[in-house]
Amino acid sequence: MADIVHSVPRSDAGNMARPNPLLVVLKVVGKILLPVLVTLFGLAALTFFIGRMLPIDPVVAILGDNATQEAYDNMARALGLDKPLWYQFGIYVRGILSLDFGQALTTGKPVIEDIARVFPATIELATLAIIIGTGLGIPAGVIAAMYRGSWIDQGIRFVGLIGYSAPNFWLGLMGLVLFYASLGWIGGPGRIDFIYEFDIEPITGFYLIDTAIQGQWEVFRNVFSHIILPASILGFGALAYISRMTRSFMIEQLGQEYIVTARVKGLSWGRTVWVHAFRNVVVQVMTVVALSYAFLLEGAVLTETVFAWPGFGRYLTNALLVGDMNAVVGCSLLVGIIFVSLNLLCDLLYRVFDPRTR
Amino acid sequence: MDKPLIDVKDLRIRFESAHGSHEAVRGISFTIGREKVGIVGESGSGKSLTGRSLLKLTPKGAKITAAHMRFRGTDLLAAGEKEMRTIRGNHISMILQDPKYSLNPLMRIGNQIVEAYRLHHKARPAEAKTKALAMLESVHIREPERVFDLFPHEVSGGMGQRIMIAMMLIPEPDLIIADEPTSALDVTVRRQVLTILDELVSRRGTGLMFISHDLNLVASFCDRVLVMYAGRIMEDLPARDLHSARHPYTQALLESLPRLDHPVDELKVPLRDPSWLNGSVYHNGALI
Amino acid sequence: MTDKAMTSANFSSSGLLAWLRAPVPTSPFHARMQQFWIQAWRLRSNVPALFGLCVIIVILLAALLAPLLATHDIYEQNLAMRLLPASAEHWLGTDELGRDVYSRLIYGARITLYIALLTTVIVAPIGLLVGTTAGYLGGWVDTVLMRIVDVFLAFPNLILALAFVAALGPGIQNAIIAISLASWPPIARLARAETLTIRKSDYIAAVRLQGASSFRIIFGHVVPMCIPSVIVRVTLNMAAIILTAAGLGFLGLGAQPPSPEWGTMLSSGREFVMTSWWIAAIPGCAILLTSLAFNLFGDGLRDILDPRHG
Repeated sequence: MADIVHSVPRSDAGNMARPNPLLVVLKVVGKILLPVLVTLFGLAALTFFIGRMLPIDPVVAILGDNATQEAYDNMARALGLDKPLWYQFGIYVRGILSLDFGQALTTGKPVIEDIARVFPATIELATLAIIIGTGLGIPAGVIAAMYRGSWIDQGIRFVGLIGYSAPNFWLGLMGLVLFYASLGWIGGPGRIDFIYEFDIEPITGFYLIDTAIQGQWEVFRNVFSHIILPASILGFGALAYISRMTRSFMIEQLGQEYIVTARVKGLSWGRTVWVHAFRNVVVQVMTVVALSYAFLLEGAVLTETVFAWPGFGRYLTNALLVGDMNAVVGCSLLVGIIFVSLNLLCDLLYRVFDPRTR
Repeated sequence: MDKPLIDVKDLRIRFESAHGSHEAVRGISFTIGREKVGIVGESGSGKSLTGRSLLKLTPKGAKITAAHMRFRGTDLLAAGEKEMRTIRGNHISMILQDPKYSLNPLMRIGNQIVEAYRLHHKARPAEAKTKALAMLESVHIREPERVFDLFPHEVSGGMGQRIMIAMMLIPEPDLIIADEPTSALDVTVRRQVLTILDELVSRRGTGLMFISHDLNLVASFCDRVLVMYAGRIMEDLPARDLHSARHPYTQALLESLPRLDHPVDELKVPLRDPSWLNGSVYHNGALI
Repeated sequence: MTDKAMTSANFSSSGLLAWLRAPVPTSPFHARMQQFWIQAWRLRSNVPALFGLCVIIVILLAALLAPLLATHDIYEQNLAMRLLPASAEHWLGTDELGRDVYSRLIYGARITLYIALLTTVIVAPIGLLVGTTAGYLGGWVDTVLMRIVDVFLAFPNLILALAFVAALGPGIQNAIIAISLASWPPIARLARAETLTIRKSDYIAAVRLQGASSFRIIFGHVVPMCIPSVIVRVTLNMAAIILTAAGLGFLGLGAQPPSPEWGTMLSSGREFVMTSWWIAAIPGCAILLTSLAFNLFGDGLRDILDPRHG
């Protein structure tokens, strides 16, 4: 009996020469990276434009209102403000490529230094939030799909809906009122109580890790009591999104024929869901988690304001309110780059993990 | 012949929905022994549902009732989920229609077959792999080692269906339900797959419930034919007696099939008589 | 045609119902009305969506009838009566300047709905236009437009809105512009995705063969097909817009005090929240409820207009 095997076509079929592997790699890289680079360029342009639109005169901000005309002109020339716009943009792009975002008005230090100082606080918060959101969100989504239509499903969807619809800064406020002011279970605003502030040796900038490495368990507990509420609130938003998407993906898989096959073989419903269906959504869920991380940046802006968290979000908000052009532009660009990178990561994840796209 | 494997009496499957309830299967009775029984019917006749109800894997919202529904000694209706799991795969298996969709796309073929075996037999992975390879050979797959590591999308339809057969027969069930096993395949490949199925089923004395809409196919392949229409069995007779079918629906079906030995200018389209919905049915040529 | 003439002259209950339930529609208008009716009927069985709709209607009414429903002047300060809890005089208590929270809440509904609706009215047409044009024409038009969309999408919603508001200056109008600028890209993406699917249809090919210009095809055929999903998306978006607007207000960049915008109320009440929790809790609940209502209703709309989901 003829055995027609329809396998993946190999490139040495017949006498064709093998395509140059270097060219192939370049083509793939080009296909993926080029749009990203164009987007980043557009990002730079957009942030530059926003920066130039800020209503506050940077020269006045530095020199004050009473500067003489000569001092004003000198400063303006020093800042490059007398050159045509496209020239300024060119300087700006050059600066970006060497990671020079200029000086921040508020601190007088280079923006990049400021960002490096405040970023770890936000990363620590966001990472803990994602762990909460994923750890609870993925199982919740899977269980909701498994018992679709039941009260478990309705309950999970309802909780998710609240996470979607509630303003997270309000939840933060209410959380502080309840758990801090009334019950005293957790620490208040800020990363750490004042009395411990000088006990920390910032090695990584992540207080939880720093205190754990040093074995400073009392300080660790204090840090934890401060971070747990904002991280939970941020995580709640992530949980809502992740569980909703996971549920949606799982429902799609559970309607497929191979699920019936698994049950026909004699698999229990639980094993069918986790061993067979779940592996088919892992890639999609991973991309959702990566995207959630990006959304957390957005949530962090408001949460950090409520909890007086000395992180990136608060820095950006301050910069916007004060009109610190360099800081605003630098921060916006950074946010954009992170977002774009995460999207790129998602794309790559698909290509690597789904054997069908290879 | 010994006791029948499947003994169903007055099976009814009802769907409740917001728009009211609908009875998809309306009181059918049949037995299946160690023979090949074909169930023929058009879409909506309830034939697939009947197959799934034996494994209690009907869609959500379906309510199964019957006077009795037995597999050998076991009462399938009363059986709980745990008991059903010992029956599924082990004693009753089912081959689904389209291997493109019925195999897990992200699991290697070999692993899927091994899983089917290890669910019902305590075996070490190496042992199970050997069995799986042997099974792949028995469905005439050359290079079973290579196919073992492939993903379902890397094999053709015909091969996929053979893999499905291997997977479903590896635990050596007593009864196979084949739900349109060749409908998704190219016409040229159908015969191949059916021959393999026939070989395996005859060799082990497994019962076969062959569900299809293709009367020709069923007639040539099966020992007995059940004709279903609108949720009821219109006629139940041996395949060799099909030419003398009594029910007008069966006759209409036969007449609408093109035949090389009786060429006609126009094929007859079966006209559905509403009296068939609740009218008389035939068993082995006799009115019941 | 007699059917239509009959019913337009005779909208008695049985006449209308019979017309809607007729087994065979007599005109495209009739068919569309029948479809609406079926969809409205299906919405009835979706309890959460109905709840959402009711809440939306309540808030809408509150906004419209604010002058009638408010019990006090919303700007009048009365420092002797500040930070009072709920009472018969002040149904939801007073804020830090002695103003009645209930009345401010009602007027705040106006601002919230104003922002949400105006943003939607701006964003939907622009998004549709850009998306369908890019999707249908393809080529460099598509590439350029989508690059622009990508650049905007490279920012989280709030941060982009924040940046624009900081650039334009605080205030409601600028907040609306900023939120609109941040909200149109997802609509454009959605419209483009739909257009790409529709573009391949046979009936588009047929119309093109008949000599229809691209303009006519886009506006006459493609856009109407995109409308259902855009409506769903836009409804769900309203929830996000409300949250963003409240966030802006909270940061002091949206509506400015003494405006009774809910986010602004939260911000000015923040200092006193530890002791007088209601001045923050209540506007927050209002935001939550409104956003929840739009989410529920939007989900319900999606279930009827696009049964593939859920």
